[in-house]
Amino acid sequence: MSQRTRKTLSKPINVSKTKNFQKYSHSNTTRRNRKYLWPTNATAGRMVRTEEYISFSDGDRKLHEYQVVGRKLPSAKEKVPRLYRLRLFAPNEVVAKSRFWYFLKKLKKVKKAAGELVSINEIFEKKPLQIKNYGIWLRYDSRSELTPLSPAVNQDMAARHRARFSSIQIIRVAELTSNNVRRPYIKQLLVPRLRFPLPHRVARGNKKSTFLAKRPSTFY
Amino acid sequence: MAWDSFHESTRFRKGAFKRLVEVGRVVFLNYGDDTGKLAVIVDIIDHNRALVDGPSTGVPRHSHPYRRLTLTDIVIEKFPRGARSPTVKKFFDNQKILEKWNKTSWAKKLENRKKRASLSDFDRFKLLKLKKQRRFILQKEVSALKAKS
Amino acid sequence: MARTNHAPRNSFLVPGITRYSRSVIYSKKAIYKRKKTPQPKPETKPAQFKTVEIKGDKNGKERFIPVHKAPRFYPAEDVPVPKKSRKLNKTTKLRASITPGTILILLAGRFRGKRVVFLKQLPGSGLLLVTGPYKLNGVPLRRVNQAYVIATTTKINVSGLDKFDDNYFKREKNAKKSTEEEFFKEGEKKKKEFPAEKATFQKEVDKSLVATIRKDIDLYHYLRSRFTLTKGVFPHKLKF
Repeated sequence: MSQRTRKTLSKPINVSKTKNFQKYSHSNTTRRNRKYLWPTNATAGRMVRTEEYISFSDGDRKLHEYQVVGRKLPSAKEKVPRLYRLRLFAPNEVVAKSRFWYFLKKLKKVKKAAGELVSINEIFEKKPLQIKNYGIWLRYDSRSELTPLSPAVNQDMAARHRARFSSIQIIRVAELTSNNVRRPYIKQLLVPRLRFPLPHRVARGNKKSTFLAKRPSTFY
Repeated sequence: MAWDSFHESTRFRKGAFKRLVEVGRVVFLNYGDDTGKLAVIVDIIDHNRALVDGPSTGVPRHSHPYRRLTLTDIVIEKFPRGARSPTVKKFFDNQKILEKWNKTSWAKKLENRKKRASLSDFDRFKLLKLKKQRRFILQKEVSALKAKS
Repeated sequence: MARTNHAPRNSFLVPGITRYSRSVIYSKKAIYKRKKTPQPKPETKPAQFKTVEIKGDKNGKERFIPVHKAPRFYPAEDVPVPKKSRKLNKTTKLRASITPGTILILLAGRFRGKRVVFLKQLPGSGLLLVTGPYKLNGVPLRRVNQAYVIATTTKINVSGLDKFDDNYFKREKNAKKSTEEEFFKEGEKKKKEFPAEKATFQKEVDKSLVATIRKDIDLYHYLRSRFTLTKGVFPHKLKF
């Protein structure tokens, strides 16, 4: 394991330092219908559709987006410590808190033992019933020592790169305009007046028997 | 065949397939709470699911997999992509989609099935009798014609 | 869901002493929510005392004495007296779908599959009194348990038969075979004849019924036919 290296990004994870964290508006992301990720590193650029995993309807399997705010414990030296806000993805609040301290520890000199949480709340998608494309910037531990900054987070990550939740860090999630979409199978869907057939279907519903003498008609 | 070229070739003609996934396509849901109800494809999410809505038929706006719906022959004309529920209702009602649906033999078959299921034991018996009578008349005619030829 | 065996709520700590008191059980079982059905009390108490005439002038002519004389001795041994049961036989509750005049489908026995008319519930046994009518499908006046019956939604008008009860179905006791000769002869005996009074009674009951049924020719044929299942027909999915 020690051989594994983790290349850090040119841009750090989105940590905003502010005493007045409320002025930061939430992005309208949470419940995604389509998502892609693409790394900041253009050479390793790829987009991943992350629907299953990051789409955040109910169910433990899926990820939720949380906003976690914490700070160092006030001391005589620093009476009003700085607040740190992190927007992160986790299956539940407990994990979200844990991830918050994990990142803060790495980025700032604040540990859980000497710090406190100020608030944690879930961020919901503003318009869950509208279809949009999402891009996800992330980094992950790859199998080889060379770590490309390519995608991770979800089934797609797990499928393409065998990456797990523990080895994935999401950097940014944002809605994409269609010209920024990279993955070809999503590009297909961006055609105006899109239409396609469903070839070879077995009609479901009112099943009479599992075993029939007649083959079903699959023409559709 | 690549998908893009497929689209190019099917932009103006349907090809061999009669029913296509497209915005405005009326679909028949065959799974879940709304089994047996009609809805409209409002937007296409991906290769597996679409956003459907059926305000006139009591179907809430939701994402529905193609596996669990059947496409119908009916398409709402000039249906705007991503239309909101009130607009969907307007288009659905103005183009009398429900009426069109009820005229199809598919809808009639479903209606008949429902009727048949609601028959009581006595009703079933009466039906059996009537069928027998019809058969009697028919067979008589047929045998008479056969004898002629 | 699988049904689990119900363990009693109240267990014995030691034999005779229960874990929960009566009042605790009262609240646990939520008996206060249930409607109370008080046990009807006997209307008149049997007389405890009686007056007896006494002969002789000096004896006051009358005396007020208890009906049962108290025993002179206490019993030498404790003889256990059986507890009086306060249980009552409730009359069977019929399904809401079974009302007088309902056409039923018999499910078991000799007449299975026959469609019959339900006349009334018998007060003693709680069984269903049913008739074919006999003239239509050969089912005589008969008692059936409601478990062996499908109730249809078809109903016809039925009236009368108020006084009818289970006694009609009582078996006549055979006289004891006294001699050996009679005993051996039994095999040769002819079939017992159906009592004539019962036959006439059956006709009487059926008469008005058949008249009403005949008005609807479909109903007439319906009652004459048997109910059957065919391939692909599932009774639990049918509406009756």
